[in-house]
Amino acid sequence: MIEYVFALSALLFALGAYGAVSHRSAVRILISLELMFNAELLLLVALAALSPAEGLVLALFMIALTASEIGVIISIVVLLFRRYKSLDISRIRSMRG
Amino acid sequence: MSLEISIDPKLVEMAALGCLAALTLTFGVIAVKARDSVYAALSLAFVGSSVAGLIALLGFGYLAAFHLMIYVGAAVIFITFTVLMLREPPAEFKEMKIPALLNALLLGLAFYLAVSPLKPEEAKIYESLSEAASLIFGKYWFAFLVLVYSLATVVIEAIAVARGEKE
Repeated sequence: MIEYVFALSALLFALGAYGAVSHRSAVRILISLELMFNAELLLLVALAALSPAEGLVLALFMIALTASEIGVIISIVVLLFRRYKSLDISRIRSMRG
Repeated sequence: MSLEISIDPKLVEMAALGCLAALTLTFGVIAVKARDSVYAALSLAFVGSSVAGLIALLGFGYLAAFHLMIYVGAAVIFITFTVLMLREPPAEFKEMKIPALLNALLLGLAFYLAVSPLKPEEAKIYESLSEAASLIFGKYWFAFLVLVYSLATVVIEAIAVARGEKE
């Protein structure tokens, strides 16, 4: 069963990587990166049989940190949208004030 | 005369794994390919739910509940509401298609080749919350402190962004 979970997480990771490279919208890139996060979390939990308690703690930290990371990135997205009226990353040339 | 049907638990486990894997991949494809960002964000919520199911199947029930509550219930819904409020135009798929596909294939293959030699024992895992709690407040106390600071920073940042005036 673990082998199938490995294969699934690899597929999900590849799908997220495809989305992250092919999109130009900041929100769509964030969504693709979140797919990659889900793949990594699945892999971590599959490997947690090596040490269940430590695996559980690391996975809890990972989920909580991702929640705070989403908060930061969404704030940046909102500020970019206010400034450029678009989320297209090819239009964002400078971060200067 | 009683009719008894015995179902192999391994078979049920594999069927559940297959269903959840199919759901994860289907919603993953929708999250990447949907033209409307709202559907993409909602699909991400379904991917998160399917991954929570897979985590529960691997023997971590509490972690699956935590993933559903914190990740799907808060973080992904936050993305969905942001997408709804920003009213972004539909996504464009004009550039970078073949390099992106090649990059994804190579990354996925590298990922699988890196993890496939690892073979943890498929033992039934029993989550020990007391052991996890003692690890959090013992061995990983500094990581926990950093996590608390980062969450507090996000709260302050969110308030600052919400109070900021539009240009």
